[in-house]
Amino acid sequence: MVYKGTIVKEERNFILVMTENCQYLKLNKKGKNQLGNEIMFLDEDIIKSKNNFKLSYGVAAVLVFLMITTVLFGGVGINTFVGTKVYAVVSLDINPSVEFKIDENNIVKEINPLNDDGKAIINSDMVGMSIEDAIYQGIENAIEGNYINVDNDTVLVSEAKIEVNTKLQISIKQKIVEKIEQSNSVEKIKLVYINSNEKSLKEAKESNVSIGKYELYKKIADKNKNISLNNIKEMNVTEIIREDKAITQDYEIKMNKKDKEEKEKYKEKDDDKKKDKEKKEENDKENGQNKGNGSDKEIDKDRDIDKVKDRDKDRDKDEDKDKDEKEQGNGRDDDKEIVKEKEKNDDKEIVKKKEKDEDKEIGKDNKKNEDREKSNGRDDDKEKKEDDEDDEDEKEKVKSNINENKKDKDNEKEEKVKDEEIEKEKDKDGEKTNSNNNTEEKGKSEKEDKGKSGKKK
Amino acid sequence: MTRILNLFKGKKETLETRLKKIKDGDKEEREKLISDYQPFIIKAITKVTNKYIETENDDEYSIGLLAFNEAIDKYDFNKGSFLSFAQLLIRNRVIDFLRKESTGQITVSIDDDNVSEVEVKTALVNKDFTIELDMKDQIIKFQDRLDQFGISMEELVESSPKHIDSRLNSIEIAKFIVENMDIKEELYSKKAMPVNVLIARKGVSRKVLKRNRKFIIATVLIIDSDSQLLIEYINGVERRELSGI
Repeated sequence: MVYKGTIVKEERNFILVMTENCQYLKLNKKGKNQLGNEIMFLDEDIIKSKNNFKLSYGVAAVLVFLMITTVLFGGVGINTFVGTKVYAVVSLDINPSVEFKIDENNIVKEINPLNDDGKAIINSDMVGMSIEDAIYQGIENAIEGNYINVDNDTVLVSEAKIEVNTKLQISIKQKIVEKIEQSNSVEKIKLVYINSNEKSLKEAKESNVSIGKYELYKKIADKNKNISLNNIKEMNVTEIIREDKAITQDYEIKMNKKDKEEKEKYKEKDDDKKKDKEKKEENDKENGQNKGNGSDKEIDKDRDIDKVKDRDKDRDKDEDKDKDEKEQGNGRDDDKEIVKEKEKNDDKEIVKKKEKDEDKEIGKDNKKNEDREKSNGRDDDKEKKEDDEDDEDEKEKVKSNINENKKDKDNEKEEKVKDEEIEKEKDKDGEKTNSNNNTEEKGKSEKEDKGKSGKKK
Repeated sequence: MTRILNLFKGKKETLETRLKKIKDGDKEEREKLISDYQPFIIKAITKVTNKYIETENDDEYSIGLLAFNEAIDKYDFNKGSFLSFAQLLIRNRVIDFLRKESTGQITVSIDDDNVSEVEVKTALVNKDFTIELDMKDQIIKFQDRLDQFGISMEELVESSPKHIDSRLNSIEIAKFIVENMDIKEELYSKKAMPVNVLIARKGVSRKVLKRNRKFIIATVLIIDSDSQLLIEYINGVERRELSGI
């Protein structure tokens, strides 16, 4: 159709015309047309501003609606395509990271792998399973896929409730723990369980990381500002926890018999912490005691963790003492040996600490004597270093002793038993050191040393 | 069978058959084809001139129509599509015309005949020029008066009624306002539409007045001006609508 109209206004990018039908229209500008002239134009020249407005309003409305739904629902993970409500989000991290959305009956409604490895440990059957079964199967798959092995044994489970429902919270954690405890195929894993909340979930979603890892990041970032969220994303959980063992202490649930004893200790220490957790842990403790005694190695690990914490806190104080001792001893020939020795010494010291809660100085002296006895065959330099380290450890132990005072009598008994065992080990170690056989020592204390030696290296 | 094929082939086939008809001497069909292809002709011309065709002093449009007509005559069915041929012809004719026009103005011959011709031409141009200026002046005045009511041209584009019936209705209201001096005075002095008076005396709904306020005011301003062309538009709408065009 051909229109005729008079140009009533000229602008930079368009002209306005009044048509012979008394319509005012906006046209694309072409060349030089004089104001007031009557021109002929076609449909294609008309800028349909009103229609465009309607369209863009519509588009904008749809966009706003989408955004609102994403923020309100998608962002928090409430809505699924089925329309069922999601009551909580549970994340599983090994390094494969997976996120499960579950409903009020703990049934998995949606699975989101958060990285490529995550896709390897899930399958579509998991939808419709109860959460503990899904987590358990995920862990089993991870073991099969060699994501969980001797070097990489920490499993991080974290949950964030969207609908606040305390019953739900307790039962998820308990069910998962029970499920893994009962299983035969899943044995040597460290389970870290962190309760999160909706806020963290949102923040984690924004940075595209699992809630569990995000919670770890928050805890680590407080102490170590060098670690970025991106680093955390790419590290596997075992590595993250190696960064700062203290952080996960409170959240660790160990599934092995040995580990259960450790749980008990933690529970006692963390009296002030959440009551729910304590209850659960107590249950765990009872189970653990029934099952048997923890191995010396694992106990040692726990001790090491404690020491690490203590060291961090007490370093300043220790430094003064260290300086004096350092003056005596120069040149560390074998760092690895020293580390091992330190660890051994630490073990000994722990024993001593418990025994000598009241008298710090006496404890120190005894330790030193023992150390000297052990390292008879060694060079004087090494002995000096060891002594220095021992002193530090002793101080830490003193502090830890204060903490330990809170422990129950039962624990003290167990500790004594442990101490005796540790002493035996020490004797062995001493013999080894006498024969200058460092490799044997390494072998014994492999697990214990991994964390520390990794750091020191 | 050929019918079905024709149906499938659609327009192109129709154009060719129409062309055949015209070549066989169907004058009516020729007129019809030309008017049907007006947008095509305008588009082809605009491609060359790169501006809107002005109806008053532009010869390009008639040149284009002539060229299209010529294309119908010269079209050989064996040589590709008619439309591209027609477009090429229009383009060439318009370019020829523009070149002639510009050279004609530059080369002023001393020849007596030519001198008189030039004089006539300039007279014509001058006439157009004054009309143009007049038109421009009127439109600028119109804009000024719209400004006084706080209405911009852009707003008119967006708020003027799209449907012809509501436009006619608004024009009627505007005419009513102009015809009644008291209402018009009130409009001018208050710079606002005397809604209540109109509702009482013209019996229109408040909604219509509110929705078409800007368009009605603009129409009043046009009718109450001496912009003949725009007034003609407004009057023409009703006439055309009545005559069913």
